[in-house]
Amino acid sequence: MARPLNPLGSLGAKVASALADDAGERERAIEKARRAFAIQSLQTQRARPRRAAVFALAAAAVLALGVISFSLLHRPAPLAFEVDGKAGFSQTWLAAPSARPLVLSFSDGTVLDVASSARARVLETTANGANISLESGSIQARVVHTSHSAWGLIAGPFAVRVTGTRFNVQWEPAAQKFVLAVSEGSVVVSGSIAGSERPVRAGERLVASVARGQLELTNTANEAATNEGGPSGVAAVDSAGTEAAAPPTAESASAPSQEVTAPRESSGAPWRELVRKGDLRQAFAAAESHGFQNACDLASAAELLSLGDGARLSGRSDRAIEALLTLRKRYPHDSRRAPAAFALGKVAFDQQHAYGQAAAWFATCMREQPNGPLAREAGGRQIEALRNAGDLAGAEQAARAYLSRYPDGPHADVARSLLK
Amino acid sequence: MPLAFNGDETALVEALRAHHPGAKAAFFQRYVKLVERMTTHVLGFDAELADVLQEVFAAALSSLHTLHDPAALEPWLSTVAVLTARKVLRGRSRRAWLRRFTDSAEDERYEPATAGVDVEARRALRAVYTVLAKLPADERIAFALRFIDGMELTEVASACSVSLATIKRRLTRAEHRFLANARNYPELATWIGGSRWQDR
Repeated sequence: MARPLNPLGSLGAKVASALADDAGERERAIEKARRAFAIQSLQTQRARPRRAAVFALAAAAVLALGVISFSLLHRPAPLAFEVDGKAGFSQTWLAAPSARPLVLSFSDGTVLDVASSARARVLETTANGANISLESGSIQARVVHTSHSAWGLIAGPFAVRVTGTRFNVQWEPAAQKFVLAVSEGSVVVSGSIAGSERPVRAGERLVASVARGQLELTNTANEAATNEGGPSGVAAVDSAGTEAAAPPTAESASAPSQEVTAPRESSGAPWRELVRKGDLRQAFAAAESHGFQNACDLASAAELLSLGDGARLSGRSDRAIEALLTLRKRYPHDSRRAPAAFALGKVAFDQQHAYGQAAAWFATCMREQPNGPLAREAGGRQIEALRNAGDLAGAEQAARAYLSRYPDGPHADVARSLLK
Repeated sequence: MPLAFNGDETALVEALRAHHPGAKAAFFQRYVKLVERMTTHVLGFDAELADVLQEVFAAALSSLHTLHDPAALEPWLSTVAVLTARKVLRGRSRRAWLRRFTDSAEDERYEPATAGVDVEARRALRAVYTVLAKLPADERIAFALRFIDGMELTEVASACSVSLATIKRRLTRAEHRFLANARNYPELATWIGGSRWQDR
């Protein structure tokens, strides 16, 4: 795609991005349409004369054999799965018995335990994963991680993007309550009051009450810095090979051997409580009214990321940059550095229209966590940023890289249009 | 039970015409994202999105005989989606007089409750679709496909089943009308106020 590089094109991009924020609602509409279309198709089929149906069936069977043969030669097969040891099929409604869970075993080794009395559906399988609908109850997931893993789960208005983790997700439609606890790896939640792209990491538990409009993210494990093993302090460069103005000149060279531990003020600080509840804009407002710099000085890595998000959502790009850069400088080994880079890219793209800078930040996110939960989105946004910056060669290169990893990703259409 | 389908467009069209039991589900699965994206970009958030999507695919199946080149299934389906969206917009326009007798709150476009999203973007989105509602359906569609969906001019022309010259004239009118109305919305000032543009 190539929107005009003018104010209307920028406005259109903004609108498209805002529309894309609500993936959960749109997925529900697609699912509803799918069911209605399937029923309509079935009714149309039954109305056809029997004799014609016999001939059509025979022709279809021959055609199906040809189609299957063709597909085996040209495309990787989607994952197969079993339900309690028997062959499973997409779209089939799964109802776990009251006394025990239903076990879904996928051909890549992924296992989903649909809890007793829960209701779910495997919407589709692909070569790299599957999309699951949790209609009620809970699922305990053990997803096998590969560099191409692409799993998704829909629970009510929430969408969970998974790349390879262990987690438990619960949806109670009557109470409109969503609970997600991650024990290994991380996922990204979007939709409804979770907003867009909210990561939930190992040791964290997200509880959302749609009816009450409340969101709470708690740490079930001790918060500690983690070594990522990836490069740190490496200067980001744009596609022209020059160092981008925003990233890491202040973070380059040798990383400090010990992480600076910020002294903590009393846990009763208003902005802290609001961060814990997930009310990011109010948390930012509270931190701003009591001294934003002071709050940043005292904040943990997770809190800095939340304050940065709150500032960004409140339209305060300056404060967002302040919080996110503080996180990256003070916690050089924290796993939130890459999400902070992604958020800085969004600030540069959406609020500052600094597309070259945005592309550099998205590249940083991917470099620091190439298999992280935001890597795919960062790759897609990088394509758009390079294109908007006028760097078509860089955008084409990024598009090729994206398609090699995510041929069915959300930005695949954008990538392909650049390569036409 | 439906069979997994991984053929090309020609094979899919043949399967549809042969009434293969899995072809319709495969057709829906393969193109629903494209159709949903285009439809949402033209209509905005819409409580009847599911109905519109179903209508697009039903219309596609019933008019499959008009597809002469199976390899062009995707652009042909885009045209079906545009025609369906046009029909929806015109139908709503004809029913607009009923709004005088309804509670204005009921007439607000459905917008999901998503606390915590980009405030600026939400405001701009709402304003854009309020302005687009004032445009004739054909101009609104051309504008949305070009600037929101990001289609090339040739793609917009193809989706709207008109010539390149026609779509350029239509877009010129749409831009002028959009800009004239957008001046009343401060949330669009960042993009509209005092800015010049060259490319279309």
